[in-house]
Amino acid sequence: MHDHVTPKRTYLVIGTALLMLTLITYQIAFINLGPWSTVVALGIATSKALLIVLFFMHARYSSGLTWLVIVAAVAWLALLVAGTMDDFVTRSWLRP
Amino acid sequence: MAFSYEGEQPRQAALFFLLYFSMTGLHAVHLLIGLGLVMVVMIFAWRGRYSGDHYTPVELTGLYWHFVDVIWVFLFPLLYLIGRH
Repeated sequence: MHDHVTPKRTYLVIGTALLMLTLITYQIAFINLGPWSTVVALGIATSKALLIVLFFMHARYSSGLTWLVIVAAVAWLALLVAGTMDDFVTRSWLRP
Repeated sequence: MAFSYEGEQPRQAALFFLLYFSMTGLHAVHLLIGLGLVMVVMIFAWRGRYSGDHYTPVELTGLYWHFVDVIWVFLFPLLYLIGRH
């Protein structure tokens, strides 16, 4: 644990930014961007998750060891997602 | 679980709603646990149980709550926004 005390203002600013991003992603969902709709929606979600992890979960103020755990966990999740997606992407190859 | 959908592509609809209800349902369970933890920490904080030397339960509860939070950040666009236009 660490002794960093985050000022209230930081939480208000990040919280407002998260609400704004939610509004933006909701509005963009009504625009047809083809396959880019998914990319944009998940891109905004990733940036929101980054804000939450960095500020609300205090990763920004954490040690290198904590960062190693975060990076390892995300890398493992990426492996699992890739394992699911390679099935989804290559399934049509079986049907001639 | 019995599921019937009379519209087009009933099998695909069944698959979607199986995922929809299991993901939102599991998320609801996580939220209830989180609400309980936050309430306990809030009551303890009111009673002056935490200080600058003892705040790990506050830190860990915040960590858990925001883990649940991040999951909804991804579930919301995946379940409600993709394919909306």
